[in-house]
Amino acid sequence: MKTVESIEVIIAAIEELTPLIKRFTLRKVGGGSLPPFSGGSHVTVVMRGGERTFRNPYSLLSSPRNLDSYEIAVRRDAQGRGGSLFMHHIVTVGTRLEISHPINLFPLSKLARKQILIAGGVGITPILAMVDDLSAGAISWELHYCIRGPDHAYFGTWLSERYGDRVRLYDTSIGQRIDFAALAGWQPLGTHLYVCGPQSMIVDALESGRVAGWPESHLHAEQFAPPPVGEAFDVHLAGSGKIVQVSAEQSLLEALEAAGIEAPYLCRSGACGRCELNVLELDGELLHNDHWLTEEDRLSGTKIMPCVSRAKCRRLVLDW
Amino acid sequence: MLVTDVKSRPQYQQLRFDASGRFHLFVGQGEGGLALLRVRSELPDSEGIRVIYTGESHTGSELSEELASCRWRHLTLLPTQVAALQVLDEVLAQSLIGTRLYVAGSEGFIGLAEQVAARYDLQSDELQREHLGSSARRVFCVHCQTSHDDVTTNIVPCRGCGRHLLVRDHYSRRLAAFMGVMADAEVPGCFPELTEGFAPFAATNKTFNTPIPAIEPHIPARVESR
Ligand code: FES
Repeated sequence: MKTVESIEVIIAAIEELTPLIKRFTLRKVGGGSLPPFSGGSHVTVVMRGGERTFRNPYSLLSSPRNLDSYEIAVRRDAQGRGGSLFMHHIVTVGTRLEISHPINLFPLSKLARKQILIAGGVGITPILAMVDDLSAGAISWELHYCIRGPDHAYFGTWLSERYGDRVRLYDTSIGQRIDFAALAGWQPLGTHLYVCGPQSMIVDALESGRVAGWPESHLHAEQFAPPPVGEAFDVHLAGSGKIVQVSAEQSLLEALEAAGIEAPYLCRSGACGRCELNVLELDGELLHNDHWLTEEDRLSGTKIMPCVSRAKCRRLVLDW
Repeated sequence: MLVTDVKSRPQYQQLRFDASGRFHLFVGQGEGGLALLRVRSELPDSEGIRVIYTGESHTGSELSEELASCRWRHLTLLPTQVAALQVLDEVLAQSLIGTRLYVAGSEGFIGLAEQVAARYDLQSDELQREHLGSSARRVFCVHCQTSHDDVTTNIVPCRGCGRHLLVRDHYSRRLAAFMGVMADAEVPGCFPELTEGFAPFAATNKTFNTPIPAIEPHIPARVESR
């Protein structure tokens, strides 16, 4: 069973927006409209790099009203596992790639009375499309965006020019910071907050909301962090009797995929719950890196989210 | 089967002070005042707590005096449900996110208060509801769109179109009412057995002191099996 239906695309343009970020324009191979999506959606890009295949989720930043092409932005991460380097160094105009259908795990609330968007760095990408949706509606909104310095201001400048006062930029190189407590403290009932950026920013934003009494239903966050690396281990699949080796650099999900197993996934970042697998046997410990399992699940030692979590053990048996 | 136990039935709970909120708004009606008196002892003495209450109910349970004798920082007593809902609307319009809303009273009142709350996008983690007092329902005639308050029987004559309505367990949040459908639509003159009170709230039925709405005499006593 194919869990995520794919679309063949061709790279139509590549622009260097900042010293670290490139924007890629994707068109459907053979032309025609791409599937519709709403602001906050992402696609998983499949990158076949020789012996290794990367599948990275990237938010769609282009306007949801334009389906002739999709745009994604990729930040070069020299320390990363290679997906971003593949996009930066191997992919050129004309390269063909496979992407998943868009999925939205970071949707805007339709009932909100006010929307507050917070972004840091390349975390602006889903927010760009969300802002495009919001600019066509009647709900009041504002965006608070942190950048690393004037060289990294491409999206910030573009947004400010387009949306004026609704956009507030913070240049962290000159010490400008978002005052999260002030921001969360005095908002009308029915306000929703969305944050996408580095882990510390997400924690600060959500925590300030909670301190100000915000209910969880009004707090939304998204982060695409690469799966943590660790020690190599072996996985036994109870159903087929197969043994799959997970290398230190690979996630469990990637190792399963490399072995030709089509394990389910949606977000590949430990947030959506789609990839959950049952653990039948384990002679060590599970290293959970997801945001999905409950404390109870973790203590039970019977569940794992293979997109981000791994095990420190000799033998892990999965119910697959 | 016409009358079913549909999942749309509202779920209630005992009001509990939710310390994760920063502001707290309690709204009571009729016997719902009992819930407010009960939670009073759990509450911190805070500027952020506000109470709106109306004693208006068809069971005649008026607890305004008892409530007034507790020391609340902000207590607003209103003569009617309509006035209480109006004040609720005004207060919510001024309220900040971080406010928790607690509603206690009859099912009909709770439904109307929820409709007001929905305008301010209050989700289930910001809103608690406790049903106290009458199990009377607000019934909406699906044929002529007339609403009837305080219905305590499974069949009620519609004021709007004169049809006899069978009160279904299907609750519409949008209309804050149970659906009433023509009771003898299949065989004219054939009605299900007339019963009083609604089973899920049998325990509270003894609080009724209003007469059951008159049912026209031509309804046969015969029970239609469905
Ligand atoms: S794919 Fe979403 S949690 Fe693993």
